[in-house]
Amino acid sequence: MVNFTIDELWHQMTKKHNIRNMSVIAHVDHGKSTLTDSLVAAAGIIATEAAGDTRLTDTRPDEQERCITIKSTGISLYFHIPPGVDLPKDSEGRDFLINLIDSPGHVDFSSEVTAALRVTDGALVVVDCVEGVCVQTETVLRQALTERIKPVLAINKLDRAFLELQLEAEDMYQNFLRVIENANVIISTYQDEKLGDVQVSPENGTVAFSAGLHGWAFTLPRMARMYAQKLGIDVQKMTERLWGNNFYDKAGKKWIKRQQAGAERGFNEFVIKPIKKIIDLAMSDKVDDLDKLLQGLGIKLTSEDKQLRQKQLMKRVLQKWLPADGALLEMMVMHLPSPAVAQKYRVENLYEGPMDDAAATAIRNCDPNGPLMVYISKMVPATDKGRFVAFGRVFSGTVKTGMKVRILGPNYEPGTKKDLFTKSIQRTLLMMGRKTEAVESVPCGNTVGLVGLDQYLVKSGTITDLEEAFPLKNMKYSVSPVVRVAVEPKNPSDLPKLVEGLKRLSKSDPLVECIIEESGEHIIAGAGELHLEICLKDLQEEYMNGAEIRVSQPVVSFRETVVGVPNPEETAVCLSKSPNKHNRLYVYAEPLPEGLAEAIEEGKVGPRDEPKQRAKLLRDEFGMDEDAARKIWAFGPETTGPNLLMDRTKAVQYLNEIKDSCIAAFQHATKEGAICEENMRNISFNFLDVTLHSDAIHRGGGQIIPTARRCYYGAQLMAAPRLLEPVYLVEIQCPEQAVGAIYGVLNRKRGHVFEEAQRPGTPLFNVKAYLPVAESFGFTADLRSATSGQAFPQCVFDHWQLVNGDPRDPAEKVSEIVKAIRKRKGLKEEIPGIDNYFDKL
Amino acid sequence: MPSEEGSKVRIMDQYEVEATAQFVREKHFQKVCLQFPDHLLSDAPKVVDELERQTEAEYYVLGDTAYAPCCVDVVAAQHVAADAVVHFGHACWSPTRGLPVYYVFEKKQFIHRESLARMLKQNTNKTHLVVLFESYYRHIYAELFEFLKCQLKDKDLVAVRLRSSSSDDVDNTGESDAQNTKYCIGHLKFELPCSVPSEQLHFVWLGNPSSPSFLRASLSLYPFVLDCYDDSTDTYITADDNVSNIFKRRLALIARARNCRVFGIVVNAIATVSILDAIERCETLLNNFEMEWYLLNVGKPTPTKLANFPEIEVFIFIGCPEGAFLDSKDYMKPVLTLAELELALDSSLYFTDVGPIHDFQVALSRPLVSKQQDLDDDGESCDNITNALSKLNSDRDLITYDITSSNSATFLKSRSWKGVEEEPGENNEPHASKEGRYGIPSGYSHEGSLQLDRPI
Repeated sequence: MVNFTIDELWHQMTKKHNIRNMSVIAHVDHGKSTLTDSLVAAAGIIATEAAGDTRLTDTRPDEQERCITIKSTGISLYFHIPPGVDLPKDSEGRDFLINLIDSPGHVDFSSEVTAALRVTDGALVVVDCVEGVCVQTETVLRQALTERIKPVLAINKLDRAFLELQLEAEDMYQNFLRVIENANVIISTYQDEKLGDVQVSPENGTVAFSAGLHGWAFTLPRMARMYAQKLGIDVQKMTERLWGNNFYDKAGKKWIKRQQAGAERGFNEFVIKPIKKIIDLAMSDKVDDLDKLLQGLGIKLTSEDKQLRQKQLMKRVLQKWLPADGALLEMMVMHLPSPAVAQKYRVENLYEGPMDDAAATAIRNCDPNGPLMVYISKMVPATDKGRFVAFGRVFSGTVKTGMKVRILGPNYEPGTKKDLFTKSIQRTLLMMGRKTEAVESVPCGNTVGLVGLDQYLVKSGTITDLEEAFPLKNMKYSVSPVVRVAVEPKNPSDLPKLVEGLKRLSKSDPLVECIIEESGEHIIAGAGELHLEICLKDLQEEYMNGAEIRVSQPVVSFRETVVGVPNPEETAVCLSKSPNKHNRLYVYAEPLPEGLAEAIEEGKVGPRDEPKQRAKLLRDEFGMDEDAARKIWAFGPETTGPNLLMDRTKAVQYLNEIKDSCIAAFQHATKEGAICEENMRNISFNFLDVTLHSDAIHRGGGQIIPTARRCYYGAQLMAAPRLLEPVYLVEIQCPEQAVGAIYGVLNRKRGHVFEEAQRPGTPLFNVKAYLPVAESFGFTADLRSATSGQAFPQCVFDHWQLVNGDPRDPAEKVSEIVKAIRKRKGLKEEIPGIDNYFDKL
Repeated sequence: MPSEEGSKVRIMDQYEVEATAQFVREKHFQKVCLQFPDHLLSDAPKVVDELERQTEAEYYVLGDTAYAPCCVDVVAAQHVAADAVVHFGHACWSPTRGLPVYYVFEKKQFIHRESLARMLKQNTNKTHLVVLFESYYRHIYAELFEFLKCQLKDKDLVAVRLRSSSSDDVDNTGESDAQNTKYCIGHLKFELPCSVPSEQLHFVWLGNPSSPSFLRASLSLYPFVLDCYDDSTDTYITADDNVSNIFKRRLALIARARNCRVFGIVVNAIATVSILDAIERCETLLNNFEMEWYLLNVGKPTPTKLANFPEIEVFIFIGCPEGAFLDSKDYMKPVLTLAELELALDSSLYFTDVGPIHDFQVALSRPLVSKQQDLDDDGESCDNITNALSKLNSDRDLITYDITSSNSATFLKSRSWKGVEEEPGENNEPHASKEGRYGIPSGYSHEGSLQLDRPI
């Protein structure tokens, strides 16, 4: 029962006001994919009956097996607004196209969510009505809001509330209210003028109640419409009465504002009760009573339907009465912005260039005839092995097959040839779940798959046909790849296969990093254990054709830092001389002011800030003296990292001339610290003084760069060097009897619980704890076995924590860690002594 | 005095003065350069005395070599218009253009013969044994070979010969005719019969495990692995993953070089045969891939020298195969060989495709890797040219050269230091001349009192 064709769809794609791009986001296991499937069922790709069982958007065999979404999948739906319902502003006709992306809920895959959010304008936030707003719900919601994505809420798994928990109507209402309030608390922290008020509320129709598994859902306006006809009341008024403190006095047949005997809350009376009645009748197989009741609602049961029993019957009846697609698609169409609307305020968040150039204007106006601007958010494996389809969103212009485009990679700098390719698009595709359909062109406002660009794009990038265009901003991921393994082929002759496989793996996943370390080790870095497991499986089976690989024990990346010594400018100054002995550098290191490293990592403070504003911020919030704040030379590593290079010299000749050399050395040094060549963090290197040769040739880069690097290392070692280890925030939901076991497992693994609370109205406990990443391997398995499968943790990287003890002191435990790292990297096991860096005058 | 007499005998023997004199006399050379490595330089006067006594020729001693002591410094010899060079000490045997060269190797005694035989017995159960050696064992090798043959009766010893001084064979590995595979590595030459299965071959190196010639042999023979016996310490080191670790390290460097666009070709030999071909090949390759490159000749490369070219992202080292791997940690930029450059440019190639990566001579024999040309690319470049021409024709003005089109120019643009500073807001009158610094760099006179506390 396909109710749309590609031609119809394409025609629809040209109406920019009638398009909705949206992603479905939620905590793991809150029912995104199931809900999506019931929508897809209505769009006709799979039969309505099979909805809820197939997980159409889980395209991979392992996704179906594990019942967990790993990759986000895009799908296009078609919706016709029934006559009699008001249309949203500016719309052209009653037909709407909805490009929907189903995203994974497990934290390890939240990079997929980031990629999905970038190409959409709205988000359907799905929350399990029993479990409520969880840590991942919060994370993805925050992500959506920072990208200026408008959310609507779906409170899902109502069937659980009815059947499993058998809640009373009022309890259910309170439960839903709490979920909505929790969501709104998060939303309210992101006040954004341009985006407007995005708080969700049922009476406005931005909250839907659904049972994805059974394929039914409703919003209050839809319910109200039903009653309005019958009772002859205004729909708007009825909607308002169905939520909040509006009570219906049955005896007096009137609405009152306060709870009193004989009065029932509107929501309970008109929404919960009828559903409950239907469920009860269906579950007890009273088909005749049911039929009578349904006739009152204008629903006819076929004789085939009447053969069904219990759950099947209930499912069929509710689907007929409250079809999920109708309610959810209507909510999206009515309350989520069209690309034409959304791009007006999103352009500032998207475009790197000036807001008044041709590209920015075209994006703002969503102009199909403007210059082409496409953002590729991820690469999807194509049917022919080893190739990828670039999946993204057309923000302006129209992308056509055969068109010649400029491909701007993430390292592209405007005006240069860096990371820039000019190539032709081989094919333009519509991505629809498991299937792709080739089309001639795709106009702006839609998602698209492009063939023929995979060789030139690593993970993401901008496609344009305008030479002056700046790239679209890169995505910022909420998780970082902190867990790494080294891989090597079992058979050395498979090395080429491994290299090729890693290349493909790094394309296929937005977050995974495949690095070759200096020692030649191939490192795969992922967000967590599960993420790595999936990556390794893909690598071996998909991208290396089953060639065997050896995987090392997981390794954690550490950071090097200093805790500082008192009076560093007197006691911890490192002096290094250039190879020709003509130049001398004096540097000392100290920790950054508290909180500054985090601010840099979050992008609040960065190298591109306006210096005066930055100085003000640093002075007011971090207590740096203004003079110093203005003398920041560089951030590092990678020019944006959480370490600073400061100039605290006074009246030194030729200093500006060696600045570039000092910065180059700083970038090197902060990338590979002196302790074990890990990145540095939270260190400020300060130039106290320099003595330079008066002849320019004797103070060139060749003399200064190596010297400056030695000097930073020396300064680092003199300022009480320490190691930082990454720590996960773990959230566990479990029944009360499992809490004790959780404590036990956490204690064994150096973790500690900092919050424990019962979820009101449920028997579930919510435990939050910190757990060092180094101890997290096997944590999930341990926890499951200790609680006989009742506890399922979600680990997300939270912060860096100081490892106590000087790494150079062999008595400290940290020295063992350092030794192991150095050994793995093929370095000498001992940390080089200060004499290697400190020169005598 | 007896000691003087003794030292003379030692010199005569060690430096093969008789044979050298004969070489000079026979070919009637008038001017001969004697090239000594640094550690033997102290013997040079005595050798010269002796040679002058025995021949008519004029002698010049070459001390500090331009690139590496193992390479014949032809350019220095040509400064005095010499007819020939006598090269003392270890040589890498790179074929040299222009001058006849006579090689005299250092001689070291081999002390622990029995011990070697015993360890060989212990450490291998393979049937065929290939014993390779450092150049300083050549004088005793024949003897040693016979000795081992007697001791290890159950094994087949593959005959390893020394390359003859005059021959100009190019290094090759694995060139095979009907029965044998020929190998030529540095000063060594041997043939492996094809009938022997490769898993029955056992290679041993006599010499220092950290010497460059051992590394060279290991790389040339890869995937065979070499055990090593060090006579000076009497230790037997079984082959480990050393070579594959080196390969892995190089792979990492190559991977780093893949994203780079500005290359520096560092020439580290001048007189070696086909060095110009290698440079040309390098240039053609980089041009084909539309990379920017610069040709550098800095003498012996050091980190300090190369760091003066911060805009260059990768250095290509073209020179002696024994010094081909420079530690990139110090250089902070990848330093690649010619073969590695090809690997970096064409990502469809792998180690196994290019043969020994350290030797540019081998790289030269392969077909040039070329960029996969897209049809539409050609069209575009054509367009650009015609556009530029038509612009020129129409108004005959100078075309502005777009500085951003060059990567190194972009680098220069990104530097904060642009030249002479002018402080805004200050009056920029010339300074009055004032007194500068006095003294030597290790401590200028005004710094005498400055004392820093010792570090903690």
